[in-house]
Amino acid sequence: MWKLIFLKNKKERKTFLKLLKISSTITSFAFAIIIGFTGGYYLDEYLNTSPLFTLILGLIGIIAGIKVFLEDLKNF
Amino acid sequence: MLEHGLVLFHIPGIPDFISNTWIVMLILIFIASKLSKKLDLFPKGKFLLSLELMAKFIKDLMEQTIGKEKTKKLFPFFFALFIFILALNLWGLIPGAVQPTSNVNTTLALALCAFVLYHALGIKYQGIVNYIKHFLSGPKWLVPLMLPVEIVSHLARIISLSFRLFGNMFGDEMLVLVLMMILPIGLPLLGIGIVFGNSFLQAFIFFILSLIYVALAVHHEDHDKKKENNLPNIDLA
Repeated sequence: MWKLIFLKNKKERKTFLKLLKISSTITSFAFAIIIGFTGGYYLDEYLNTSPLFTLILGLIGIIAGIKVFLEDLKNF
Repeated sequence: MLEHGLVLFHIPGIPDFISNTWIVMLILIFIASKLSKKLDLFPKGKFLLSLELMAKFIKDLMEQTIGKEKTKKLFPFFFALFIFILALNLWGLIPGAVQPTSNVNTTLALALCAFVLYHALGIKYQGIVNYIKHFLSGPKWLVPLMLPVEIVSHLARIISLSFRLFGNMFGDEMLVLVLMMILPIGLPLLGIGIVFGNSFLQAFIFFILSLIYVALAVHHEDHDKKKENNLPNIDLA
């Protein structure tokens, strides 16, 4: 990995940066869904409306995750 | 790791990770003020040379990603971010010191800095109205849905950024602790070696991902200009 970072070969460095981007995209995708569901869950607990907001914010989280994924994919 | 034992720089009433962060900040300010007086066209000393090498490496990466003009303005922030995270990570190697980055509050604060920066740059380069328009892209009937989607997707970025650093450094600390419990002599050195290597890697990953987020904010602007001028899209990374 260190060889890749400090390599002067631009192609290999680009590949490494792209790999980093992919890893960031995947974690952002996962966290978008987690944020949606946990936000909805706590809102439901607070307002006693289970499972309304868990479903709505969970769906928004999934859409946000897909959006992040597709947006980042465009920039590769 | 040493929360229940001897903790260096313990200030009553203040969490240990904050007091340790302050100490790291003071040390960095002291070193920076000393080194800034020694700056020369041909730097002398291994420490100054290695710092200049690191600065050049970061500058080159930034120029490749966001261009020369923006690098001139943003280099101080990104280099400081890299050095600060690296110092916080390496601070954990000192026996008795608390590693600030193994606490999620520190990493979240650092991620918020990057978050505020890339939004501020987005507003600066695109104007506040155009920037808000980006959040409300798509057909008009989709706007009420797109706003929460955009908010969640941006929140996901900072949380993934902060949890990556926190998880890695906390995991490393736990590894050293477990190795210390298995065999207190010799074996923890393996874990300490991993902490040392991972400190550099995580500081680099945090820096490069923040840079990519800034590049994406700038990229939107370039992309729009290219659309107006019918120019082909160029890959930034």
